[in-house]
Amino acid sequence: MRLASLGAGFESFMLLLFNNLLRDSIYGMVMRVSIGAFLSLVDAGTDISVLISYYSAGLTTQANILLAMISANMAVQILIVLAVYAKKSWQRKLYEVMITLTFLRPPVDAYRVSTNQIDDENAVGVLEEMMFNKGAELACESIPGCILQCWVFLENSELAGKFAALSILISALTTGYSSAMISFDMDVDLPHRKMQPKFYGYVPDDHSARGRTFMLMTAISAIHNLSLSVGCSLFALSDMDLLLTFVGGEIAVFLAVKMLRGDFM
Amino acid sequence: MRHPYGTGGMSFSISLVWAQIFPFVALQFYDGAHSETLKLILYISFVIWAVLNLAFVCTIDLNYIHTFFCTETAAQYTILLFKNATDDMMRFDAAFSTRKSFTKAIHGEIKEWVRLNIDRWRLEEQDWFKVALIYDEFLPIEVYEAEGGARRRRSSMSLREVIGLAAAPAEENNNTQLVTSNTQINQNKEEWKRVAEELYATRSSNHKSNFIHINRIFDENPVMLAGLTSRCPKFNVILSFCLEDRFGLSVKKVDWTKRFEDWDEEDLKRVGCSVATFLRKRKTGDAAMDAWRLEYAQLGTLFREVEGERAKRASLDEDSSDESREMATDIMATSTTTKLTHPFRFARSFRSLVSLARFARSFRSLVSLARSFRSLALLVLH
Repeated sequence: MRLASLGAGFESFMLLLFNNLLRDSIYGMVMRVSIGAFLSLVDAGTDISVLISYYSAGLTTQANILLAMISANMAVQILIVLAVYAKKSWQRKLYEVMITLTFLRPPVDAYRVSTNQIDDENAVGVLEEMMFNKGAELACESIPGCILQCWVFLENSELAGKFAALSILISALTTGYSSAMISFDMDVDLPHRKMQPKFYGYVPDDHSARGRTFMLMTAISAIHNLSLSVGCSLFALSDMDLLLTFVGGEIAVFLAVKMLRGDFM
Repeated sequence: MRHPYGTGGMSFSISLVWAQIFPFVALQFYDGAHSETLKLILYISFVIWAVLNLAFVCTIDLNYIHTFFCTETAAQYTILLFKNATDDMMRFDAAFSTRKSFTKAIHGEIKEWVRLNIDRWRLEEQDWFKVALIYDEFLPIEVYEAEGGARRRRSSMSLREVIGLAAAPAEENNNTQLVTSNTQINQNKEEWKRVAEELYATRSSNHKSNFIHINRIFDENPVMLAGLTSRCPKFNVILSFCLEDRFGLSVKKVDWTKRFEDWDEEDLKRVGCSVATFLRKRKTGDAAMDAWRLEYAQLGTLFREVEGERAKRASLDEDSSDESREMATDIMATSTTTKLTHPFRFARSFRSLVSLARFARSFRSLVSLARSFRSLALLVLH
């Protein structure tokens, strides 16, 4: 009897230790939050720096477009915050808005996901909230920003300066990191794996393979973003109509695929 | 986007390849000064991308490679999720957390399933069961009326809250023997937890100090811990490293064919220190614990549970996908020695061969896909 029940008792014993260690350890989220905060701040820094360099080089239109992208990102993220925290007090909403306005949204989201915070009053869970914010950042700022910077760099490489190339690389890397983080978190998320075990689970359980997978995903996403950005910039430089045709064509194909799959029914 | 609720794996993969072709197409229309340099950069970028993808395919769990090429629609996927679900929780999630139109083809089946099980769910009061999520037409008439009939609001309130009933007592278990057995197991668990609390309270950042406290507590509970110390005599050393408050950077391997008794100090340190890394990398304690258990196959024997609980845990196991490791754990659990028997060896070799064949097939598909795109690109370029 004692040997048969060792597993059940031992598991409770170890689980309690693991939960307590996780609760009290300060290292649990350090790496993730640090990288998220670092990349976020570096990206914000390079964007502002590029903005200033555009204004000083007389590229006012391009600078205004970049500013509009940053503002649009902020606006969308504030709307997301207001929707997610709709049931919360105005003080809490203001607090969350301030996090967004101070560019601290990515590390705060990463911290909340890492510590598995649950708040039933929120419209969505912390993972979904992070995903929405990252999505907004990618759609409004990172991806179009990268295209714009590539375009300006190819058109006025002397005016844009060598720092612009570095900024493009950082933007691509930040985008890659954000996309990889979304995909990775979706895959290793416990409820996802529990509910859809045939789909979620490609990230291996082996420790070193996990890290390698994440790095590969980041690099692949960064190159993907860079390729598309360069392609769009080249089209924009040769013929703006062509760019619109290709981008419009891609969207049309996407919608056609969705329709064929019966997703709008 | 890869998910069938997005555009599916095949569309996703094609879009990835198209993203690499796109700049080459754009370059044909560009007649600027840097076109030659750009062409070179794009070729280099493409080669790096291809190599990274190959490395990615070699790294991920190949049992999921089909998710990158699947053509299932959202409706087909949801129906499969419902039909292949291993428990009610999964089935409920598939039926009621997705769009109603996705399950249109099996509405009759879902309705029947709800009718047969809803009384049991109401008694069991599981967390996943939210009657408010069930569509009106799927509810048996008496439940529908109890819910408020036509005025029923599909909200997050539970049925009990809606109809104002106190929690109904669970069905009496007539099997006295089973009740006694469960009580004993619960008591046993509580005892283990008490010891864990005691251990944790004395924890420090120094493994030597931890070791002294662990030994003292182990000495105070010799009967309860006898099973543990007989199976893994040096578990106190592992625990002393586990309890250290440290930054875990990596997880070091321990030969999985080694028996507990043969673990040397370095092995014990590796197993203990790895806990900090698993806790840093995982979001929950149980996910970290499972990863730890699976990383070191020998630990499986300590976690062996009574039959029913093991089955329940299996569904919660984050790392259930790692079949080979799981198999290794089972082998270790069912064998009194660490030596593999011939059937297991054969099974393992067969699995490796199957994986290899799968990989070769995927690789061949990738190569033929790459050839097709090269032909397409050449066609576009000319």
